Amino acid sequence: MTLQTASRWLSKRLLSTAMRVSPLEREEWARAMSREVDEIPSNREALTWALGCLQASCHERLKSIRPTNFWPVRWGMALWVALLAVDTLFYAGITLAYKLGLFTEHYPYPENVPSLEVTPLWDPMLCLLTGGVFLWAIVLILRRSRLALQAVVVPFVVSLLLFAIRLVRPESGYLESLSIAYQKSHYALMWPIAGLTFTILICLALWRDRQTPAPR
Amino acid sequence: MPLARKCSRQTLAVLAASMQQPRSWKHGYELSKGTGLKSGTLYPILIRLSDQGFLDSRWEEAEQPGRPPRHVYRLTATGLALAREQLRVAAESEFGLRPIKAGGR
Repeated sequence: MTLQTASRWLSKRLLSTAMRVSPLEREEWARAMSREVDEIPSNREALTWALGCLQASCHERLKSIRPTNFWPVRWGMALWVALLAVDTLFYAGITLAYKLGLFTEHYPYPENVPSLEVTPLWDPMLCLLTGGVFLWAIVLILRRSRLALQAVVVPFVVSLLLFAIRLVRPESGYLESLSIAYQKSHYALMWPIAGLTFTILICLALWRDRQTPAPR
Repeated sequence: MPLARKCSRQTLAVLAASMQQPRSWKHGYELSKGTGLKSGTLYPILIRLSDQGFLDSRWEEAEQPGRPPRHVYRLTATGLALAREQLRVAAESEFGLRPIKAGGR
């Protein structure tokens, strides 16, 4: 086998790999790229062309990947949103119970009582609604619905806004408690920041999912 | 999904090459030669333009018998309008249309 024929053979191999790598909905384009190689007179140029075709096919394959197609990713997202739902519903439940006077025994978190006293009733009510939407988001994520993005983003933004409102209300004592936690350990704020980042990543993955057409 | 307001240099090069004799169909290799873009850069741009309705494509029988048909491309009416607008903006910008180095970067 001469160098020229070896180069042509390698080009053909690369093109057949590109055809295999290409997603089904881009099959025609992969065929279009590979047909051009027959019209390229130079062996070296044909080889470069074939390498480019493989690169383009890989690019299209990566673009066609929907994160929620992989069940560990899907279940991981659902688990995280479930944690958010539990956290939100726990806060809503315990605050509402206190506000409505449902605690017949001593309230289990006495240090929170001053904050609870100044919390308006709409705060836990809104949290209840937010937690419900988070629960609905779990179902949507597992079903790979396009609505999952809104079902995560809307309650997430509402939760952030509620948190911001609590922070700016000086009588709530939120800022002091955060400051005390930070003084106790500089890493205390690491977990909320990590949680925030993780939720944003989930939103980005769901957004990416919406951009990608469903496989045929 | 509409194309971003400002196209990349590579996309501009594809639009500019397609604007030369806009009613004629061009092969991928011909566009690659005209733009200096490698196939790995050129085809994702062609695919995107086609998805967005700016580019028409069809299979054309090869001139030489025995050869397989080739995919050919030309800008649609909206593609032509986009190309004119983008090339005008690029020409008016500080750097204008810069040539693309070999390798498509």
